[in-house]
Amino acid sequence: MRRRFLARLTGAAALLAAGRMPASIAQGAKRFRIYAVTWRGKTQVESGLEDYFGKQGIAVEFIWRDAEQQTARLAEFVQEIKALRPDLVYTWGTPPTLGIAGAHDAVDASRHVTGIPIVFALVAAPVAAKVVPSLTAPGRDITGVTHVATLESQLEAIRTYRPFARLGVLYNAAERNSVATAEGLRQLAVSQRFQLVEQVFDRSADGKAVPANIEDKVRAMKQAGAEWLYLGPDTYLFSQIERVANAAMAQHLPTFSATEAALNGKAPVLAGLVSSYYTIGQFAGYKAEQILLGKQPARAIPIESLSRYSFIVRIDVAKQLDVLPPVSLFNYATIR
Amino acid sequence: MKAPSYLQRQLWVAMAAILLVVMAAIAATVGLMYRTFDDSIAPQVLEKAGTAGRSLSGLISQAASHEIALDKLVGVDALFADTARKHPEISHIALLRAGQPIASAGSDGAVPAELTARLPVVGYASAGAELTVGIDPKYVRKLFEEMALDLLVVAVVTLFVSLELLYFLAGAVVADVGALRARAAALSRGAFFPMPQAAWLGQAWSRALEARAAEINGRYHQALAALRARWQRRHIDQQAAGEGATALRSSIAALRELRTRFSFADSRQGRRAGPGGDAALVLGAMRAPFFLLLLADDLSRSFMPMFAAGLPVGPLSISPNMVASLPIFVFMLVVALSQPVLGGWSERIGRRRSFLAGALLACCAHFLSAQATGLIELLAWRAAGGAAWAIAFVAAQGYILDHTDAKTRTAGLAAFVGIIMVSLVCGPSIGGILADGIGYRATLVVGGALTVIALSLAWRRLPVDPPRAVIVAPPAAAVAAPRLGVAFANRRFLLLLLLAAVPAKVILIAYCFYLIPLYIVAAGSTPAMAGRMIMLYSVMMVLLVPMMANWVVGLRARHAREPEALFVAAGLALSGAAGLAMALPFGLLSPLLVVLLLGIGQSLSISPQAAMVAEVCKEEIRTLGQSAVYGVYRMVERFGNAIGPLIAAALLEMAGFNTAFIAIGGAVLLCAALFSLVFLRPGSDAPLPAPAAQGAD
Repeated sequence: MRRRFLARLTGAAALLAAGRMPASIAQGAKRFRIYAVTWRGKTQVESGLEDYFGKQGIAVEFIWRDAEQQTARLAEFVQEIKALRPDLVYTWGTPPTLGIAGAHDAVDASRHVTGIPIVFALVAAPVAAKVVPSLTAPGRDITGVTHVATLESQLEAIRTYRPFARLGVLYNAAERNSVATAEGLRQLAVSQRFQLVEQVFDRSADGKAVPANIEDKVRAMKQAGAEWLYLGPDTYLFSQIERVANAAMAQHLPTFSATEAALNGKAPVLAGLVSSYYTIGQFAGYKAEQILLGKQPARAIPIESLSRYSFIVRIDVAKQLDVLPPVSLFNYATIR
Repeated sequence: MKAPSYLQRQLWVAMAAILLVVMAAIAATVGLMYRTFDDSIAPQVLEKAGTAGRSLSGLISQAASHEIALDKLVGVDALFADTARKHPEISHIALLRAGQPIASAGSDGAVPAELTARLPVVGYASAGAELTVGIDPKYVRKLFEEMALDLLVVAVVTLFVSLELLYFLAGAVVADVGALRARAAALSRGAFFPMPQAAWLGQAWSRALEARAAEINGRYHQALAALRARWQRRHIDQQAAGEGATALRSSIAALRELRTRFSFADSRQGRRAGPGGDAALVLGAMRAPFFLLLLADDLSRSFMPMFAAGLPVGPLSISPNMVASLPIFVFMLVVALSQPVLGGWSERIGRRRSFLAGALLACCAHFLSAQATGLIELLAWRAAGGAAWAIAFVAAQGYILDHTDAKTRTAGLAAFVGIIMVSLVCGPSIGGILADGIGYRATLVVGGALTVIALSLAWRRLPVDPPRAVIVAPPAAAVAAPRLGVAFANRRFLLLLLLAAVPAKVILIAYCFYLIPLYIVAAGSTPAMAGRMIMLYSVMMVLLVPMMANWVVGLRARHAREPEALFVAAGLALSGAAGLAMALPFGLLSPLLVVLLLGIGQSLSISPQAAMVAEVCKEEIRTLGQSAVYGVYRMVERFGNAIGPLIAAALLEMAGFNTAFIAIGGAVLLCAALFSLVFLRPGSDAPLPAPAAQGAD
């Protein structure tokens, strides 16, 4: 499926130029309605998604809703979806996906959306986060695109840049996927013989993460001997990315990100092994097309990641930190 | 053999002269190539290292484009070390600033300046940066040695192939000049019956003479017919009788007179030369196609195990080592099983037709092997190849047996063995070089092309089979169906087979065609090296077998003793000891030592062992005939050929190369000891009959 998607990306323009019937005619007069939920406003992922439908000539009407990082708003969206009955629901990230669809073993038809296909993007670990029991057999009408390279290849990438014996990680223990990532790191620490230096965000009484003592936590990791700070696919961490990255810079601690967005902003993050957000959005669009035009049930469409990741290095940050990449990295890394 | 005729003597002189010229040409060519190579090798390797250096320099330049200071570069040492590891020709890489190294990998020991590439680093020129890449002189030397060995192989093979070509040409010349001479002689005696014509040399002349003879024959027949008609008319028309009788009578008298002076087509059948007379012609015609067929097969000897091991095995679950042994096993087994059956068949359908059938089958087998996509398929084509080999072998042997008599047969069979050995000298070595250069499959296609040439040569040159009735009794040495019972009835024969004949073949095929190619490639060398080893063995056979045979004959003459058993025991023991050489830590020299010892051992035992059969089976030979007994001997030997690779594969699978070599060697040593116990007891000897004709493989 991934291969066909990639072939489609390159072949789409040619198809239209050759005068083949555009999809909009095939679908008749009907415009598909997609209810799209974002967590912190639109990103490059959504641009990729919209552009995909545009390029394929599929008439789509988006109903955009942004949760503004509040779980409570997701419940309102669920009720609205039930009332509007769109053709498809799109969700960005783990919290909105879980808020709309519920964990696969705890679906409540009154609080979650059922009977309408859901396509997600930017869910780092769909199985660990309990969105689905298995990537190849979702078991319910949910499919989507994951965006994070395996932990093994990320650690390998970190080592190519600079080997380490101690790895720092800062995450939100309230996020299921972050807990899963931390657990994965702990296992790798045993098998690959390194030491994991963990720090979690403070949380308020209601369990929500709060931006307190971030600088102290980063300093503590540095003092514990961490040589890198790993920035996993953590939704809250991303909201605090500038503070975390600046604290790390102050401590001369190199940072490595699992997601592209962290490397695009002002935050001085050093490097990352990431998928392009724009392409992830296009791939999600392709999966939506399979459901809307291909009339396939979402449960029959596997959850996949992109086959290629970019090793991104920000050379200005490297110079600031005085942690320059090894010369061999110029062979394949994207230097920004 | 008859004393050589004037023509033959002249031909020998001409051949010797041509051979001298050819050898000089080969030597000159090889010398020139050697020098060219000597001049160009270092620049070529340097160029290759320069390419690697440019890619490194480009990478470092990228760092410059990001404005990273030269002394701030990270991981340059590791990068250099990685590159040096990937390029065996590079011994040293360094990044210099103003002549001082700031990063390096490898030992900068003794790299001469002419083997060092110096490259600028764009972007760091102002910092005085320079990249140096040094070539390993040892690598250059090794490359040079490889090339020199290849040249040597090419020289030897060229020499042998030139010899074959000369034989071929001489055969054609002898045949054509012989035909012309016979025609001229017949005409000078007044004989006008049809005779064989020259096929190549003096073709037009021969055809003209034949046409003239046919014309005279035609006129004679016309005159005869006219006379007959007049004779008959005389009987019908009595009146005319009186006036024509005198003329008729004088005509008949004239015709009688003519027939006393000339001979015409009706008076005698076109004579065929008896056995022996045309042996040179037939053998000359058979030699080239037979050699090409053998060569086609021998091309793949040095790499067939590796080729098979690389193919998908399909549903079978067998280890790669076993897979590698199967093509040889199947080939040898088919040869062993089919040969007894083929003897009679080849005689029935005719030598020419059976040879052509063999060549055609070989042609298909080679081309189909080249495109085989799986093991089973390859085995099927190799089995076909084995059958083709056996058919051609029997047909060629049959030609010799049919066209030689008791006196010339030994020489004929020696020539036959010669062809086989020359092919084994040339095939594996050239095949190995070809496989290195163009791959296994393409080399198999080359083999196929050789069989096509063999087929067309055989088609054009092999004499037409005489009608069945013409074959008088089958020649004494014709291949008769072997009866295995012979072996079991005679205990000493059985022991000779099991303790000497079979072990000798097992160790030969297991080492030369299976273990050594695999070992050499596993040790990081090439199929070409494996081919050279097999070639070394064959060259030793060519040189040593006649020498050893003469030695035995000499010993017998001087001491009136029978040294055969001693030679067989010594040969076996040496062959076995060859395997123990693998225990020595000599690297690639160990298999070389194995081949040398094996060559000496086998050359010691081959002829005496065949002679011992005659001694051990005196009684059977008297009752069943020599061919039946030798048929059994050859067949059992060939089973040894077939199981050799299987045994080796099983041992290799269980315990690795060294153990496989040593175990087989040890077992053969044990056989040699037992053989000595049985056959070397004093007083057990009896006077020996003349050594029997050598079979050959």
